[in-house]
Amino acid sequence: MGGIRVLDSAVADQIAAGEVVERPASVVKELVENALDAGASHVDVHVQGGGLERIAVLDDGGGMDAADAVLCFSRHATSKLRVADDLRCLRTFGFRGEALAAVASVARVTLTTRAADTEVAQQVRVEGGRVARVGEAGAPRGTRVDVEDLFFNTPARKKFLKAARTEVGYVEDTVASGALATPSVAFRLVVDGKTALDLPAAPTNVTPEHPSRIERTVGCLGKHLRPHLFPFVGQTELLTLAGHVVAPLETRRDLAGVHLSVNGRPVADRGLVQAVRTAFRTLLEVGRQPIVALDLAIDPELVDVNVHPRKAEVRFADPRRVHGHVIGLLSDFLSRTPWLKAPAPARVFTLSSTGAPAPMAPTSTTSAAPVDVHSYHQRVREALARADAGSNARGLAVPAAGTGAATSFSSLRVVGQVGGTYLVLDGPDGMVLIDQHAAHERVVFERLRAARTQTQAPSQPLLVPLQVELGALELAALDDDGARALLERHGLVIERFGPRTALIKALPPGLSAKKAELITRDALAELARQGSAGALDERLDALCARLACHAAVRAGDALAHEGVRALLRDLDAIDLGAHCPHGRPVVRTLRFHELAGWFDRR
Amino acid sequence: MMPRTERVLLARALALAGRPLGDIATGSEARGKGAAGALVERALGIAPSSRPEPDLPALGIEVKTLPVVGGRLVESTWVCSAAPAALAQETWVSSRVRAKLARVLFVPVDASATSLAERRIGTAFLWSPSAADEALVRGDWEDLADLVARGLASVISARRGRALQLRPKARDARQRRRARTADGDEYWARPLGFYLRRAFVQRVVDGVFPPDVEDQPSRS
Repeated sequence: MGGIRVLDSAVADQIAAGEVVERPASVVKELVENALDAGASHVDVHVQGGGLERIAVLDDGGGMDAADAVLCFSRHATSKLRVADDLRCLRTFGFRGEALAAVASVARVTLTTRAADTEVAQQVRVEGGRVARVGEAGAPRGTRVDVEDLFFNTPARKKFLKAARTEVGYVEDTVASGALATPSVAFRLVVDGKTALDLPAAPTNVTPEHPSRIERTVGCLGKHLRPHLFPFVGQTELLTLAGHVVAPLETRRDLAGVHLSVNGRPVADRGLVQAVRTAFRTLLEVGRQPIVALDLAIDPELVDVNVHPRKAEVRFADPRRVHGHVIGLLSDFLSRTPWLKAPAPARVFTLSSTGAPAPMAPTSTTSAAPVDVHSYHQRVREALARADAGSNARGLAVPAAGTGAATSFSSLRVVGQVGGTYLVLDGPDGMVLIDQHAAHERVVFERLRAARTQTQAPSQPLLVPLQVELGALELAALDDDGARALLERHGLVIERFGPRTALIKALPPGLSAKKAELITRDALAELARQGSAGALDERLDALCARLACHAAVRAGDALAHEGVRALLRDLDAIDLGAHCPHGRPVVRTLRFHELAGWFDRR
Repeated sequence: MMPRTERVLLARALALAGRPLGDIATGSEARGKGAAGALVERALGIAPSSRPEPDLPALGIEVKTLPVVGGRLVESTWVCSAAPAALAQETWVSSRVRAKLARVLFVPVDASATSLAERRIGTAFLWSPSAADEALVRGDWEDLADLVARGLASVISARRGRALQLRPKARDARQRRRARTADGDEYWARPLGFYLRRAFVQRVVDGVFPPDVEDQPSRS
């Protein structure tokens, strides 16, 4: 007799649960998605002991009847999907019918639910995947799921968890992501009896400029970001990108500040995250990551959400085009937003401006508007259709940058140069200090980059073409005429040379031939996976930064008055001068009230 | 077939870029010095010869292979032999050196592989000396030719000449050839050849294939 056995269903459920329920935050994510799909307008999440002791998610959604209350614990039991074709245009967060079964197989779960048209709630208790009790209970309309003793029967899983405080952090991120993607639903997170997040609902169909939307984002990302938050709506013929962008003066060390959703579904899609990073690339300090909360609205038929057990990733029909549009929209917005001239950023020179995207003011708007998670996207699609009917041109709903003469660097009085390196200006709020090398470097960098992006990139043949062996994925990209043409536009000329080899014949001028193989592999792999050449673009920006560094005035160079004025005029011509291309600050302000403090004048 | 135009010659040379010499060898070629050059010339359709004029007389183009390792030339570049008797009769304008260097197709060959067959052909490029380059080479040639003409070839060392060298070209140091001074006096001299200095040709190569900016240190 053979040694192969069909696994016991409880064991199979536990294995499947490993894909879906990785940690307490995974449980919260699944239960919150169920609540939203049930049409909740309020979702409450309670967590105790880092989520291992207890997680409770309460909603005021549609609830379930007695039969569904039991059936929902079976694997692949769902009300959200009937036939495979439904996957092509899903409007719900869940659809796999796995979440509750997976959670119940590794915890003790109590489900209490009451449909609107019934008087009594149904209560089902499931322990380790087996139904322990079914009965009736008194409860308000909606559903409450209590998850206790998570991983009680899979102790190995517990060993991979982090400290309770860290797990709570993941839960908070999960709730915040859900809340950012569904602003018209109120959320509350209570951790060990204390309210950690309290997010009132925003009215349905309001744009990111609406104070309630701003409050939602501030509530999720942190109040300290309020002065740096800019609403953003950009649209192309393919998609609409809407939400909030935090000025690159405020950044994070990790990618936890990048909150993205696709058609209202929070995702951690690497390609999209990379597209956002590419748009921000040269604006950030070295090693820092941007903070954004953006939703991408696109025809559901052009995106496949069924590619990841936790639905964290999506697959676009044409990822290259989608990423290109996201980069284009964000880059346009960032280049037109005068961060340095916006009021309030504490660390930099601030000047008032007219027409610039205004930082957010505190508000206290709340709303009990009816819940419709997808109506916003519907509205966007309708607007898009109207726009398409009139024009195919890309439209950006961003305020124009204000660069009036009275708000420019060149309008300030130059006090002088100190330390042979720093220019001292008399600003309206304080003493403005400019690192002359970093400033000039930024100016030269912007010119070089503009020259690179506006024309066909030049190409430098290699003295001896480099033969490289490539994997199947890279070869597939190489055999794609469009991908190869894209690389050639960047100055990288590569040809097939054998069944598994290629010859790199030319590189963008200045790039190190020693790194040619690495650069090419990265670019081809990225083209194959995401349809874009961000890695190459990033490398070329680094090269522009290096060239700019060599061309710029140095620290220690004495600058004549006219030279200083010319540099200030050049700085006025670019709006991206918060940091030099290497990430060092260009401008700092020592405010008058700080000076007053030094001299006991306050 | 001999290329009839410069464009055809360059296209043929560029089509070889990246290929190992083994790809264009038949297996019957002689090994040793000059083998890479002979292979490349044959692949370009140039008949082998040791003429005093350029390899492609109709086009006035000389073909030179440049052995390189890691982007750096590994040796000086042979131009032509320097027969003392003939040298005494030449001027710069009528010289074989000038004729050979007026237009050159340089073909780099990566010499890092030990086996000739594995050495990879590089990206060929056409070169003509700039006025400054020609003045430099001419100055060296006139200095060296004058010494040879005066029977003073023995004082010439490889250190002489900023771009152009005159060096013995023989299998061993005892070989001698009959030579004659400008006054008609005969003497026995070592067979000599003109070479372009490695640094000079490296500068030409660097002009076409600039060193990587990425490898230069950052300033602040």
